[in-house]
Amino acid sequence: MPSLLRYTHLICGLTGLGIGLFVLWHVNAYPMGTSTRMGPGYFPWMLGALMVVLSLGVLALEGRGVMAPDMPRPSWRGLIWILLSIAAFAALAERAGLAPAIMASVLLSARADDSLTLLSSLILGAICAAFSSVLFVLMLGLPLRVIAL
Amino acid sequence: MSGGLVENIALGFSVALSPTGLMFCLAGVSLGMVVGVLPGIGTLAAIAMLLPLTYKLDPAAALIMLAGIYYGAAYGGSITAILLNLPGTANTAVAALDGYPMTRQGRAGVALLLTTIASFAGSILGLLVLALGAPLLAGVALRFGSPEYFSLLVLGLVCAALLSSGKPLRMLAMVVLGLLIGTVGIDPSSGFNRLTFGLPSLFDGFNLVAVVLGLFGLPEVIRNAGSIQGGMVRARDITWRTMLPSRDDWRRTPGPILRGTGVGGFFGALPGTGGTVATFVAYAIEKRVNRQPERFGDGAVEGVVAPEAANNAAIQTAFIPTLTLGIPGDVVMALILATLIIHGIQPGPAMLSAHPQIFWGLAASFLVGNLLLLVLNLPLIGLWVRLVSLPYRFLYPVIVVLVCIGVYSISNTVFDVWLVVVFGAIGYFMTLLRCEPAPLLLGLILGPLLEEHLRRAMLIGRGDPMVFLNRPLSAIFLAIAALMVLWLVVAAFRAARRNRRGGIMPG
Repeated sequence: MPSLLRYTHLICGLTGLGIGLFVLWHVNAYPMGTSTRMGPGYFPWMLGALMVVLSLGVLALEGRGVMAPDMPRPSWRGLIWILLSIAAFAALAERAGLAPAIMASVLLSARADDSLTLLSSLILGAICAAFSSVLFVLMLGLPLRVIAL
Repeated sequence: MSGGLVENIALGFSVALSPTGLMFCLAGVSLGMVVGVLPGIGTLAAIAMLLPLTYKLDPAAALIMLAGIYYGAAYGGSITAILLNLPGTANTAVAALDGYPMTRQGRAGVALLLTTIASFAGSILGLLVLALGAPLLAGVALRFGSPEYFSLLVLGLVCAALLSSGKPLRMLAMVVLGLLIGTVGIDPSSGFNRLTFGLPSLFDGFNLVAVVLGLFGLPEVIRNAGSIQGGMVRARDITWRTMLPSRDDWRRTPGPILRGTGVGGFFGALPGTGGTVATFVAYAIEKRVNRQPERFGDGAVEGVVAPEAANNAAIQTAFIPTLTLGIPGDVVMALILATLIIHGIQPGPAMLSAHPQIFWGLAASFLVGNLLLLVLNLPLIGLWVRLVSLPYRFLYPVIVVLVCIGVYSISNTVFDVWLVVVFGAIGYFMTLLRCEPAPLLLGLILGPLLEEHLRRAMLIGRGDPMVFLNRPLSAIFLAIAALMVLWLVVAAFRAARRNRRGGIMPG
């Protein structure tokens, strides 16, 4: 993977080109209006065209980007566990309540770091859940149930 | 302009010294200190997390608190930069270059005292520039029409892209991407749904806080989880006695403070640039004017003092374009701008006369807040150092939970939390691909404004784009922006040719 990430100008340029072309195609269906009275499609169309031009520039001119030696290695583990942790909160907050959502979130995000044991992450999650329930739900009136089963 | 300067200052202090003003100022600067000291929470993420809590506040109080976080973090960040070589914020990274060597020479106390003085002096001088300059600029800007605004916005966005640390073309593309994301939602002038793909949650556009926390907050947590150790620091024996600078130190300080303040004040006031650039420039200038440049990097007082003064002055003057033109200098200012808009206040030249209590209350709160920081900073140094030793492994799960709750609470929908997941992934890949998210965010926030002024200007010009060139100020703004882009394209061409000849170029 790092070998692919070396070619940052290719990835950036192609992604940008894709976004620009998609916008041009998608916005084509919007009313364009005239330059005096612009329709909703006018400005996005201009941006899409600009995006295409800039992306071509990136592809043509920025050469091969090489990872700098001081660049940290991608932390896939951190990425996956942190994103899962937030996804768990999103999935559980309204269905199961704030406390279970926080517990799940802390347990998952703790996996991104070796040094936190299961017991200490359980304790941390319980403290977070209790504290947030009091502060946000009771005191600040966040419209979430603490536990909804 | 409503009222004279004296009345305005009196009005400002009546807001800043009211019980609520004082309370939120203290809350802001203390939180800022904490955020600045703790590595792994950026100022921006902290402000974004607290933004939802300020919705129910009076706008002046909300602004006083959020601004307090910003400059409080600058003080706090310099403490860890000097003591531990761990800058808490990007703006204080330069302070570590000479600050940390001073610590290793046992002169940490001196460095801390002098940076505190420099920060305070920079802030106060910057504040003076703000109080005197903002009304002047607002007076000029009152005569701006849509063509001028459009051109100024273009200039600001170009500056934001070119003065960031990334590759220029890529950064320009990031600005355009931000502008595109900003068009998502119902078009205000026609009621037409743009790029929403039928998702009702997107009709009002992307939730700004969710985007900010996804793009800026999460990559930081992801990067640091498992890699920041912390817990290895001990409150060094910093006593009042060790803080006493020598006569030589005193003699070396005033010049750099003044030069740093000048540099910071200038860069802060430019739209599109912020404190980080100012600190680097201030450091470079000190190194150049100093008779013994070889001392830099080895514990030169000048190298610590000047960037700190620059940083704090820039933070103050950055409010000038933000509040008087509605064009933010950096991403934190962009978020502050967004806060104002959320509270129903349109920043711009009319704001000074329409909401004088907000502008002058904020300015007065800067003085109060900086005095508070002076008191909080040095005497509590032991506390701040102990805070750094808080292990990150306990900290980051809490940050993640606070991000989730904060984002949920904005409009009480889990859709926004899912957005954080999406933008978190995008943001992390962007940092890997060296696409800085800051220009994107500026584009996102300024996009609707840019489109509105483009529309109005073209209406004024009856569809002829020459309207931007027929007006002198607008033409000047556009010419500067065009020169910057031209210079960058030429530079990119040269670099590409060199690459082809000489093989691989780093970066």
